[in-house]
Amino acid sequence: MAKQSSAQRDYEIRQLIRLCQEGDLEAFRVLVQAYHGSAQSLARRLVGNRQDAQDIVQEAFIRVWRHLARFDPQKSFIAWLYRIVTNLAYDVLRKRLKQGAPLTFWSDHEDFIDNESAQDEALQIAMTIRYKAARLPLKQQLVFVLRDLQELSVADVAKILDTSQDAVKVNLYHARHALRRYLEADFDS
Amino acid sequence: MMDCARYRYWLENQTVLERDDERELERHLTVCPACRQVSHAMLRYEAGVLALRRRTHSVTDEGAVDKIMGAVKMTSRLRPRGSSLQMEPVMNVLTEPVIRYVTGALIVLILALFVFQEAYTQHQLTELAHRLEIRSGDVRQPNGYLSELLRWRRQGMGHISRPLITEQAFNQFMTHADMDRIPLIWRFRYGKNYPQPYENFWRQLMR
Repeated sequence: MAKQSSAQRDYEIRQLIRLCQEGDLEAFRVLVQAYHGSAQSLARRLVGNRQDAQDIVQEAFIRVWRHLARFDPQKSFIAWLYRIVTNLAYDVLRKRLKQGAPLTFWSDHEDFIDNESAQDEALQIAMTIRYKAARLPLKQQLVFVLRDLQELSVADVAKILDTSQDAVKVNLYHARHALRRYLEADFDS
Repeated sequence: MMDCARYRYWLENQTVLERDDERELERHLTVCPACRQVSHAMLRYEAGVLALRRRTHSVTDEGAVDKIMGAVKMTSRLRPRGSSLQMEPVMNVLTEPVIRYVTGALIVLILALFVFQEAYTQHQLTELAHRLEIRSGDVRQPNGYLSELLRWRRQGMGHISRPLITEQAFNQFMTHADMDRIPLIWRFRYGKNYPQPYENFWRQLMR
């Protein structure tokens, strides 16, 4: 049943993409509505603050519109969109590192400020992970966000980052290992 | 001996285990405090990641969608009318990976031909110089007209400044002293209409 509805959704998305390729802006609006949330989540998880994430998502959809004519509807649209978002986010993060600016990755704590949630141990751990993940190398940050937060498969992450599945697994292992070490140090002491 | 590395691999990679392996891991955790600590850290990690997923999940914001659509319409308007429709299929074909690879391969092939022809000419000249030197029977160093010519080419010198050994080659060279310096370039410049005296000169030298 779930498979059927997933197939139905894929079919609808392909139809939408075909309409968009013919220049139908209304169809594109529906496409944006369908994927805006997940693209925004990914961008926020990658760059941290809401403003940068919004800019990235807007630029990503503009690029999608520009290059949609060349997109093969049989391929995964979400993987393509994620790839554009990830590349844009990567540029932003790299620029921050180059400028030697204070680490702003996940510095936006607006989701965590209410006192009630601050008492929750899981959220405290989440805040620690969020803070410590910012100290990981860029590749590991990207793999961690795509695999553990976006819950994409290793194969999809490899496609999005244009790398091998083994490289994804290695980066993921190192990221998890480092975060676990941080958690051990912070919470077991 | 306890195989901690194996259990830690399972824990850290959040491996989905068979029932038997799961029991084995549970048994190991009851006796190994170090692995138990890793297990606790991983549980904590999972709880944190779950909370993070919930907290950083964004929902579709209609205002943001409107903004994106406005920007998309703006970029559509920036395109010159009609031209995009005519140029797009052409651009699509030109930017096809196959076309790009073929173009790249052609460029590499042409460059390789250039290099080969240049190296081949150089080789022929060197051989010829060697032959002439032997024929001249002179042992003075360096004693070849073409060795000089090669040196002259490499250093970009305008004239050969010392007496040449092979009288005949020297005379021929002087006859055609105004000729261009690099055979490859001549061939490109003149094609089939390569001036006959030059052709004869080179043929004679190459014999």
